[in-house]
Formats: sequence, C-alpha cells, structure tokens
Amino acid sequence: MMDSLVFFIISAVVIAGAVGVVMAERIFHAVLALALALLGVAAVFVTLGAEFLAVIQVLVYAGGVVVLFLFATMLTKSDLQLKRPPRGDELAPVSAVIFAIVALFYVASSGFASLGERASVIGSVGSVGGLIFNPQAYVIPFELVGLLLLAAMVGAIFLAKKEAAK
Amino acid sequence: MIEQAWLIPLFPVISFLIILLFGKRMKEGGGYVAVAFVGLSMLVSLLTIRDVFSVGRYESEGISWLGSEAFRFGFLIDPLAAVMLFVVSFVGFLIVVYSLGYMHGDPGVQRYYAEISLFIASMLALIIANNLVFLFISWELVGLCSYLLIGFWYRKPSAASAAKKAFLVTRVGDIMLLAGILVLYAKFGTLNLSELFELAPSAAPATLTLASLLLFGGAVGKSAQFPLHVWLPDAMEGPTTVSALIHAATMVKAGVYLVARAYPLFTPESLFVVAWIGGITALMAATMAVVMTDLKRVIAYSTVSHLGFMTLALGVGGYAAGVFHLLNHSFFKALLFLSAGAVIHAVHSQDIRDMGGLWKRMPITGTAFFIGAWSLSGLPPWSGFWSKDDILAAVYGYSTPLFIIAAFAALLSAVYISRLFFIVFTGKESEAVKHAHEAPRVMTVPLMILSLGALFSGFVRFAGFEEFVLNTLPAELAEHFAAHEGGHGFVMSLSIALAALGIVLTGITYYKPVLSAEKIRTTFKPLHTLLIDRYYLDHIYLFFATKVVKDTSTVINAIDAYFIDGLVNGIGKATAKAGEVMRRIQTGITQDYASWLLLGASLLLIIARLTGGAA
Amino acid sequence: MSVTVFHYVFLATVLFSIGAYGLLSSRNAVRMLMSIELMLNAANINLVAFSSYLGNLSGQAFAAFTIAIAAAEAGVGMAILLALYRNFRTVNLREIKELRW
Repeated sequence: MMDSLVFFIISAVVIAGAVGVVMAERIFHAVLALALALLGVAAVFVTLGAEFLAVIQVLVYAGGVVVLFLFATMLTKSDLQLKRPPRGDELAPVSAVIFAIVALFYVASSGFASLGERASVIGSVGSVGGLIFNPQAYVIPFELVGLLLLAAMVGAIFLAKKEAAK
Repeated sequence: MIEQAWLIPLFPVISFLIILLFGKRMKEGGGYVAVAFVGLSMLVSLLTIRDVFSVGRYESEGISWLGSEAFRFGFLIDPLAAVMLFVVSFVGFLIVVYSLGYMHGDPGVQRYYAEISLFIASMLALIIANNLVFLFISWELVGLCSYLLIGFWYRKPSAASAAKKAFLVTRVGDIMLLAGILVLYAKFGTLNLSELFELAPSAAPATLTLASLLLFGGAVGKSAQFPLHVWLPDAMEGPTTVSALIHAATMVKAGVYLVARAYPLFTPESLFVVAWIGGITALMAATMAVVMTDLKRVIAYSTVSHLGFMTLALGVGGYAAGVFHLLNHSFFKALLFLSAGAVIHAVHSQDIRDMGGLWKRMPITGTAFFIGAWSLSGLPPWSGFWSKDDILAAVYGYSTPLFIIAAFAALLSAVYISRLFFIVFTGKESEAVKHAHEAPRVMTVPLMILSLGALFSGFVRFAGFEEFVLNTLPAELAEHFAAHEGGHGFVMSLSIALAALGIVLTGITYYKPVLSAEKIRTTFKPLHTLLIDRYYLDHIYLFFATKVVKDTSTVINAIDAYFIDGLVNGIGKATAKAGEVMRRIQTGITQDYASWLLLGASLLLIIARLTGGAA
Repeated sequence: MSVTVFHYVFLATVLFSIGAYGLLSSRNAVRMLMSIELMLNAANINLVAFSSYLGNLSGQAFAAFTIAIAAAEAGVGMAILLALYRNFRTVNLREIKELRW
C-alpha cells in the first residue's frame, strides 16, 4: 500500500514536470520544470532499486544537462521569442494524441501486469559497475560510449565555435 | 620495326595533344613540334617499309575492345599499306614543313598544327587498320579533321559552308560504308580484314556484291567520285597546304585505298560499277577543269579526274596500275598544290585571269609547277606518263567505250594543265604579278624534294613495283590481275599522241594565240555554260535539299511539334500538376515530418496488434 | 493493489507522449531539445522497470549508456542550436526552411 502511494506521488511529480516543460509560458520556467521531472525520474529509479542510476540521473541531468539548457536559453535569447502555437496547425497535437491513445491502448492490452512481483535486484554501484566492466559483458560498448562522448565534445566545440574571420 | 608499326599513328597523336594543350605558348604555334613528330612518324614508316621487303606481310595480335572478338583492333602491314604509308607520311611531312612558311603569322596557327597532326595521325591509323571498325573510326576522324581544316578560316562564310558541305556530302558515303560493314558483319560474323578475305570466296556473290558496293559507296564520298564529287572543289576554301594534304596524301586517297584494301571482297559485278563510276568521274571532272578560272579549282577538278582514273584502274582489274597512279599522283599533285600555294601567297589572288608571266618572278616555283604539270599531262618520261599508260592499257583490255572515255579524259588532262601553266607563268605580266617575289626557303625546299619525287617516282615501275603491290592480294587473285599487258605498244603511242595533241592545242590557243580562246568559248557557248555551272549538279542537289527535304521535314516537324511534343508535354504537365499538389506535404518544417513519423509509428503499432505481432 | 511493471510502463508511455507532443508543437528549439530529454527518460524508465522485474541488471547497464548518449546528444544539439542562432538570428525552426523547394 505504501509502495503504491509513493509510486503515484512520484508519478504525479514526473508528469507535472513534463507538462510544465511543454506548457510553460517562459522557457526559463520550462527548464525548471524539466529539472523537476528529471529528479522525479531519479526517484522512480530509486523505487525500482536502481540506486546507481538514480545518482547518475541526478548528477548528469540535474547537474549537467539542465545547466546546459539554462545556458542555451540565455545565449539564444530564446526566452524573448516565446510564442504560443498559432491556430490552424493541428497536425502536431493530432498526431501526438493519436500516438498517445494507440500506445496506451497497446500497453493496457499487453500482458505486462502478469509479470508479478519485483525481483530483489539492487542496482548498486558495485553490481552495475561489475556488469559494465565485465569483459564478458559491456566493456567494449562502454569504451565506445566514451569515444562517442569525446567525439560529441569535439563536434560540439567545433559547431559552437565562432567562425574565424574570413 | 614492323612490330612497332603502331608507333606510326601514335607520334602525330602525341603532337596533336601537345599542341592542343600548349600550342599557344609555343613558337610558331607548335609548328616545330608537329614537324618533329610527323618526321618521327615518317622515320618509323620508312623502317617499317624496309621490313616489308623482307617480311612481306605482318599482322599484329591486336587488342580486343569492349570484350568483343569482332572489335579486335590490330594493325596490318602489307605492300599496299607500305605504299600508302610512304605516301602519307612522306608527303605529309613535306607539307607540314612547307606550312611553317605558308602559315607563318596566322593567328590560329596552333589550331592548324594540332588539327593537321590529328589529320595525318588518323590517316595513318586508317592505313594500318586490320579491322573494319577500326578503319571506320579512323575514316570518320579523317572526315572530322578535313571538316575542321577546310573550315579553318571559319569566320569566312564561304569557308564555313564549304566545310559543312564537305562534311555532309562525305557523310552520305560514310553511311554507306557503315552499312557495308554491317552487312559484312551479319554475313561473316567478323570484321577482321584477313578473315573476311578468307571467308569471302565461299559467300553468296549477291551478298558480296551488295557489301562491296556499299563499301565503294563510302569510297565514292571520300574520294569525290561522281555523283558525290561536289564537295572537293569547294574544299579549296581552306589553307592551300590543307588542300594539298587532302588531295595528295590523306582524305581523298582514303577512298581509293579502301577499294584497294577490300579488293578481294569485290565481285566482277561490283567492279563493273566501280569502273564505270571511275570513268565517268574522270571525264566529267576533266571537262570542268578545262573551263574553270580559279587556280586551285582547276587543280581540284584535276584531282577528281585523276581519282576517277585510279578508281577506273581498280575497276578494270589494273590493281597495280591504280596503286601506282595513286603513288605518282600524290607527288605531282602535292607539288602542283604547293607551288600553286606559293603563287597565291605571292599574288594574293586565286583567279588565273589576274596572273601571267610569273615565270620571271618566281623561277623555282615555276620550275616546280612545270615539272608537276609535265608529269600530270602524261608526256614521257616522268611519273604520270607511266601510271596513266598502265591504266589505259588495263582499260583497253576491258571495254572499248571505257577506253575511249579514259583516252579523252587523258587528252583533257594535258589540255587543262598546260592551259594553267601558259596562263599563269607565261604571257604578259599583270598588275598583281608585279609585286610578286619568290617564296621563302622553307617553302621552296619541300617543292624541290617533291619535284624529284614527281620526276622519278614513275621509275619504280621498273624495280618490280607491280609484283610488289600484287603481293597484297591472295595468290590466285594476283595471278588473275597480273596479265593485262596486251596492246601496250598501241596504247603507249596513243597516250603520247593524245598528250602531245592536248598541249599543242592549248599552246596555239594560249601561248601563241593562233586560235582565240574567246572564239572557242562563244562557239561552244551552251557547252561552256554547262561546264561552268558544273553540269548543274550542285543546283540539283540544292533543289533536292531545299525543296524535297525541306517539305518532307516540314511535315515531319509538324507531326513532331503537335503529336509527339503534345504527348511529351502532356506527361510533363501532368507530372507538374501532380507535383503542385503533392508538394503541399513537403512543408520543409522538420516537425511536420516528425509528426508524420509518429503517425506512422502509431500505424505500425496498430498493425502489430491486429496481426498478433510481438506483444 | 501492488505496483506492477504495468504501472511503470504506463507512466513511461504518458511521459513519452507528452515529450512527443512537446517536440512536435514547440516553436522553440530549446524546448524541443528538452522534450527529447523527456522521451529519452521515458525509455529509461522502461529499461530500468523491466530490469527490475525480470531480475536482470543488463537493463540498468543499458540505461546508463542511454544517459551517456543523451548527454552527448544534448551537447551536440545545443551546439547546432547556437550555430543556427548565429546564422538565422532565431531558434524558431518554422522560420528556418532554407531547404524547402
């Protein structure tokens, strides 16, 4: 009973954050709502026993990505350009709603509920780390992700850099 | 050197590329490069010819093109090719040297040397080709180069249209040649000349006659035979060196060479046609040459006439005589053209009525022209006499009407060339002539060398030329054509008498005016008009081109414009309309595309559920 | 009533749909990038939920990768955004249609 209560409260927070991201008048508020939603997801991870991921979620998202968005908001002055979607453009909401209905119907009609009780795996730093660094498991993908991050960093610097005077 | 004969056409091609790329920055527009490479090519030719005497015949393995055995291109060197190689590379070389003087200072000179290199290269390739497709490609290149060179001064409308005329008229022949090649391929499945010659005797005569006549059609166009001779006199619009090259060494000789090359394919029926076309051409052109007043035009008609002689000789079975005349003609015709070029260079006019008494002003040129004229007129002992005599002898044994035609044409040869000589070099000095002076050394030296050739090339007859050339043909054919010696004494006396008569007649008209040229002209007024108007052939062709072709084209054009274009445009318009509608979807806004993507994903989910896919 | 994997998947679907709506309807590129983050998080919830309910840690390892890649995406996306902003003086993607016919 306690579990359900916690889950619903956390879910409410996450969904409220998400709606905030999409609906907030000002981009700055949207970024704050995003932070809320991401922290909520971290809490979801905790309820699932994924402690390591919860920590990562807080560090990377709340600490890194959200700050990045704040910078982007300031640098592009996008806060001043906020406009409500104009009338007469129904394609986006219609397709999103249709997708939501179809996807929820699909999930509801699937047999996921029959999976039963949660197994007692704990995603601690040790266990997840052991899996990631296990040569039989995910070492190579992990190294590749490192490489990808390096490439992304170089690419981002290259793209964002002001072009040299021609 | 005979295995390396592929180098012969390669050298001028290299020269062509060099001059094409760098000619503008070179001295004399790369003229020296052209001289050097054509000279190298001549050297290799001479070494190859030396080998022909010992080896006799050589055919290379060849390279297969497009992976087809029918397109296996190699080279074939035999005595006939050797004679031609000698003529083309040697005369070509002298003409290129002469060009250094003649073309000096022309603004487009590098274009000239590039084109002339390619011209010589393609002619040499044509000679050594052992495959009809290879030969055809070279043949077309020769045509292209002649087009470019005749229209060298393309800003001059007459030159541009003469180039077009040459190209279009020879094209008629080219199509026939192509058709002939196709017939041969369909029949024998090979285009290699040696293989064709082996297979030919077993083929149905009708097919062979058709194929050989089509090949001859190509020769008619290229060698300016009746009725496709009309382009050659107009081709005088190019530089005189080009005329000399076309007339003496390349282009027009290609047609005669083709007939000689493909000789084993010709049946008696097709040779009959060949002989008559040659005879008619020889006579017709000779009559026109008598009345023309343009220096180069007279020589041009003379070329047509002599090509007729060569064709006639081949047609009546005088194989060696025809090739022999080809060799001699190259020398004296190149000589005549180059000395005519020197005269034109000096007088700045091509009209012989502006000339007269040039002998004193230009002794070297005059002598050269005199030698050329003597040789051409057929008086002994120089080259033209021997080959013409051989031809007449061959015709004598073949058909009497043709012999009369040939003899009359021979008489006219003497008449027109001596007329030319008397008018241009003797008599009163005209106004234009007073400022004339001898040509520079670079032009006179080739003249001297050619003079030697024109004088003495006839004597190869006594060095076994006939046997040498007949080695080209399969043994039984060669035997068949060797025996045409009958009545030689009579023919020789007649030939000398006719030439002498012609010269005397002209002499008493133009040198010591016993007969008045004016009077003769008025007496034979209708005939003169007919000849001056070139038998109205050009008019007939023009009528055909403007009336018949144009009216047909108008109808076809209408069909094209309204029916076919309507169809095409209709499809186009329908597509455009459809695009007009469909492009609304393409908003260019990324989010719209993403929306469609999401809808697609939804659709996939629905399909997965309905078909019971993975849950 | 206990919490099953169904609840988590349902939450993830809702989160994903909200993200999709944001991505499709926003006029602002920054907001679009944020919506993408929401969608990625929805996927992560799924991964972790199934990992937890099936007793297999692989799902969590994948989620870790996803987070890393999401960070990379955010960084590059932001850089592209800045470049766009420099060239067009706007981050409204509807106004940037240079490639349209």
